[in-house]
Amino acid sequence: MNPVHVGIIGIVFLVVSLFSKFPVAFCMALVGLLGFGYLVSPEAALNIIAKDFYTVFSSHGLTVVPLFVFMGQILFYAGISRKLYDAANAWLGHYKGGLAMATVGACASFSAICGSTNATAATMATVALPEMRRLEYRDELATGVVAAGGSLGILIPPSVIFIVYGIMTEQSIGKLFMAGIFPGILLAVLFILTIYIWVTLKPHMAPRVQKQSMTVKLKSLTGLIEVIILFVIVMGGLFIGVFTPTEAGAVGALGGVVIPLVRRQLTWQGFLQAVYSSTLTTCMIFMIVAGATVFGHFLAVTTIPSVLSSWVVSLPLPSWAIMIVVMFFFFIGGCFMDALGMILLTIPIFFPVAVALGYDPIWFGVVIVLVTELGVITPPVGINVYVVSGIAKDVPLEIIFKGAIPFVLTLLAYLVIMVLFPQIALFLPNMAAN
Amino acid sequence: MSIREDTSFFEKSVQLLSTLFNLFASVSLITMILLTCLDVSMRYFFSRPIAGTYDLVSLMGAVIAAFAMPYTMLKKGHVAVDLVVRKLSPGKQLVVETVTHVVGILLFIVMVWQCVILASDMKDAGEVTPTLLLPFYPIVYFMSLCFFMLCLATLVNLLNIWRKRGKS
Repeated sequence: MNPVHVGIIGIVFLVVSLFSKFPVAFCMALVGLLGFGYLVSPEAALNIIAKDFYTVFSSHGLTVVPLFVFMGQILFYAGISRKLYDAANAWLGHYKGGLAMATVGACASFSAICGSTNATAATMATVALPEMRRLEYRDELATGVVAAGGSLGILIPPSVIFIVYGIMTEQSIGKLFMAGIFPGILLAVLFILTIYIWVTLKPHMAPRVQKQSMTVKLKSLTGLIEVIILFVIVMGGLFIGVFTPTEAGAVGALGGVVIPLVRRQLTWQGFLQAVYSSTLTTCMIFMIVAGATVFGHFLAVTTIPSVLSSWVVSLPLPSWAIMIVVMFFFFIGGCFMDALGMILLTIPIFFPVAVALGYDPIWFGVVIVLVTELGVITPPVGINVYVVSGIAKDVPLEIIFKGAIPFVLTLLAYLVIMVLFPQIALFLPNMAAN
Repeated sequence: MSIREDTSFFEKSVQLLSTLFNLFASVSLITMILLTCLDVSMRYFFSRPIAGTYDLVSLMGAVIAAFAMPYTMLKKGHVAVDLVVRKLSPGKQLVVETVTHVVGILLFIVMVWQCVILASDMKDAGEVTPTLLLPFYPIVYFMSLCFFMLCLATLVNLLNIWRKRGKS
């Protein structure tokens, strides 16, 4: 058997094992170990597995992960999500469908401190759903918007996906964060527009509105100023090069503790919970990266990535057509798997293809994040939909998936725009580079 | 972590130790934040960065990930796809879960063994961190210990699955 055949068998075996409820990280490590052992030698495989885990665990680049995860967790336990929602609500609530728009706004701003889609969806589901129900919003709209809005979590920095993508492909995390900002804001605006069109076409979706006085509006902002300042310091410092990504994360984490402490919003219990869930998430992420590294070593010896990318480049197809095929792969994969696992698994295969086709690696990062955002709200395994249904237990899954459809359409259109105008993602990092 | 009445001494010990390990990971996380912030402020306000922050922060990252492993396993914090298994009959689920847990334990035993080998190789080679020249190998021995705890935690999870099955 030639290495490519072994590689294909390995990939098939991996996909099958993924469905066994065995953690994704260990599936990748195991298949990588066995495949590498078969192709090279068992001794080499045993050698490489411990070394890969050690290298990933002690990687300086990955220390950004626990820091930013903690920053999001601590602010969450300090009750920031509620405030973000109240503020967005005060400003948008009086429009038709305003509560849903406020949910998108709150999701977008929560994304600025949190780097994961399901955490953002879970947080906003608990805060925003009861409000929308109080004003008799239809379940379809209310749950769909929370699931879709949550997906902004990985596009607007800090984003765990960008950190890991940056490390795996040796791209600057600062540049990737910068590249996510504008597309993230634009997507939030498009989601709001989607809601506007939806409630205009079907007014019964959001029957009631509520008025807010100017004092309520202004008052809603007071609790947020410090968080905005923190975001500006952390991201600004990172972008102009005052901090390394790790330092930015540490400053954000410390600020995340200090702000609620000063405002007396943080309990000892909340602090402990934030720390524990951060170590847990860190471990989960490091394990997936380590597993993917082992699997990546196996893939490298199968020569599949290089064979595939040179074959793809030689195809008599325009590069955008190939890119659409690649995106389709990501989309299908994203329907079944968690975003991080999916991206780590496919980067070794598709990143060389994208580079060989002449696409910008930073742009490609933004695009695959968008495609995974699509994956987390489409059936059968749209993880965000499951998160929302876990909180809104009385709403059937189909209703939430149905509610997500308008946003799926928006995302699809947005992907086309992103392929046609890469500058949407690239103008900020390019501007900074000059 | 809530420890139920009907759990054995073995399970209680594993849960307690995993929690302690995770506490160590937590302390490491807090230290990492404080040390990095201190380094940044010393550098900007007194032009005196703390030597070796880079090394220490990397080591602390390894401590967080390694020492949180057993706790994360007990809390089922790992990403897994349960879409298919969920739809199987309880009997088949039990078979699949038993097989995956046993395979997992075998994999972790390999990790325990290989980390010990890697650590002793590193000790012999005298590998040290770039600035502080700290030896690398102790952390790899610790990783080995953490993988051992991970084996036990996985076993506890499996015992729990069996117990639930026995009751229903």
